[in-house]
Amino acid sequence: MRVMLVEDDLQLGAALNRAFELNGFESVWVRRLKEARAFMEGAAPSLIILDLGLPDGEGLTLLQFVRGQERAVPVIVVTARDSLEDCVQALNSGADDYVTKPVAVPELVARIHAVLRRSAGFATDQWVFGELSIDLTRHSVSLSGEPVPLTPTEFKLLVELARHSGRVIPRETLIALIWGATADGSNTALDYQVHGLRKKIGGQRILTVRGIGFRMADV
Amino acid sequence: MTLVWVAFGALALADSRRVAREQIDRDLAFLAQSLANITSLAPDANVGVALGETLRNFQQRKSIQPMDLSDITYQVWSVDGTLIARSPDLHSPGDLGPGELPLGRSVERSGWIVAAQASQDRRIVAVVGESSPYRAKVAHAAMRKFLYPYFILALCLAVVVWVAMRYGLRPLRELAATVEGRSESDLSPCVPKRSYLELEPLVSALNGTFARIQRMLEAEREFFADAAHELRTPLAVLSAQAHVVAHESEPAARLTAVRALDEGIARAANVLQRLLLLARLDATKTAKDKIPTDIADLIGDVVTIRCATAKATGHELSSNVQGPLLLRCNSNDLRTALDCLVDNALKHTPPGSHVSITANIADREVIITVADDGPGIPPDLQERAFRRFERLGATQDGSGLGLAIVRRVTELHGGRVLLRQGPGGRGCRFEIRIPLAA
Repeated sequence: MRVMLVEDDLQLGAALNRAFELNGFESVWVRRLKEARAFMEGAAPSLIILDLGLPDGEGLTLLQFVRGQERAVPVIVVTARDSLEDCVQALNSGADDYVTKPVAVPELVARIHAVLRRSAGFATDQWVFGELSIDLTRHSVSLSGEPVPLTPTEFKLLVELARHSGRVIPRETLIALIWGATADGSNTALDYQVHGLRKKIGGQRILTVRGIGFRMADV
Repeated sequence: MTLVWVAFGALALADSRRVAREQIDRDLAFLAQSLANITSLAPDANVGVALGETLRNFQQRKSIQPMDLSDITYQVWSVDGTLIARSPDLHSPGDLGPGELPLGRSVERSGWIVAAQASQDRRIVAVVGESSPYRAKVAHAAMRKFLYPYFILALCLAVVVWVAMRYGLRPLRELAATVEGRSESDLSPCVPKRSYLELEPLVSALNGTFARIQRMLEAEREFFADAAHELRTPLAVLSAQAHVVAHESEPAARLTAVRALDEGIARAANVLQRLLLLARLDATKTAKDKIPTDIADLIGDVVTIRCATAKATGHELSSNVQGPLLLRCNSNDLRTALDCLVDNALKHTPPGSHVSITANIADREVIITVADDGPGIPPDLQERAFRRFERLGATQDGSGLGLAIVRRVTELHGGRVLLRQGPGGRGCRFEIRIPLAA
């Protein structure tokens, strides 16, 4: 899952970026609101970590921007401001969580998982679809108890489908979620990956919605 | 006041004794004279009866203490030494014939005070004496007459004074109770229950003090709140960096992470040091521990500290001071202030910029100048730059306290710091001006 980190502090941004990677996330680090918006035009992060005091504007304006998008990307605000007003305002503006610095990395990672779980409608980090079980923290998938080896890309694809279960994901969105900004030949790559995934977990679990995209089958 | 009262009482006591003595003398003189005259005029009269008569008449006049025959001794002599009459005494003062006693004065003889007087025709000498117990009675009567009312008066006065003081000091006591009754942290203006004109100066001075302390505490509170806020990000950095160090499996990556952690610690330490310095500077009114310092040496120190950094970032750091420049100052604080200016210049200018430090004396001031040819600070942001925790520009490290420290140090030395246009109209030129006579 891709996390977009919006933090202007050089040292903190570098450290958090690396920490997220070490904790199994894909992490993209931007230092300005401008760059954050630009990134979201192209790709779609699974979650945004947002610092409020940015040099080129108030971090809360990004929340409004996110709300205006089609896809509601969950946002965790991480900031040095600790007043009650700031907290309430951030949450009311659309933040899913609010954390004050300094926050230990394990806690932040746990909150990321919690928010992702909530936004996907699951209660734990083990997402179960009938016989299919996806363990997000271990990055493993099992079918009827037997482990299913997936490539990193297949895993990403499956997680995104699972996250949006019950809804159709347009092809372009899937491509953006998995590979970032539109890349050449990505349509073919997507079909290839879907095909590979279907072979491993069962073709009936991934439904094609003609002209739009794909969706996870209801159990 | 008590001393005065006691002294006065002692004086009064002595005086009353004198009065008593005088009274005795007068009485004796009168009686002796009367006796002498009576005996001379009526030689056949009974002296005792005559004396009794005289006494009775005498008592009708003013006398401190009534006298009767047992208090008196008398002897009547004719001038040729013949005893005419004498009183039946238990303790006689002995024979006091003519010539034994001086006339007209009373003297003491064997526990009696006796006086001798001659009759008008000078043929008879009468001696009259008063006994000690009588004397004592007279003295006590005099004391009573004077001293006892005096005591009572003094007592009444004391009561009156005591009541007046209690009543008069009540407002002060009320005020003290009001102030003591407030909670520890209550610094609101004190309003006494009843307003007394006399207390007004005290109350307003007290409220003035409260207001001052309140302002001081607010400033302190603000400072601590700002400081706590400023430390959050450096601490968050350390936490994240430590986590990365712990979780990097690859040695090269871990080494990078450890170096990053070193920098993070340096940054947090820098912020803390600046905060503590500013807190210390805030707590004093003038610079302490001033010693004559050569400014040229001071500048040399700062250049030495910073030249390695300057070289690493491609800056040109130069200094120019003509000869020794002596100034009484706190050399540590002034050196720190200079270092802050140079540090700022190095951080806020691109590589290749020039930073120069100069010092000279003009208008009875020592002027230390740090100038750079970097991008400078726009005029509308110049005053903000000196504010605490204000970080202009995109630099991350730094506490936002450097200029605040420079300003505070120069203020403590009775000087000021000015921001002017840099050389050629570009960049910054900071001038620290400190009067020589400070």
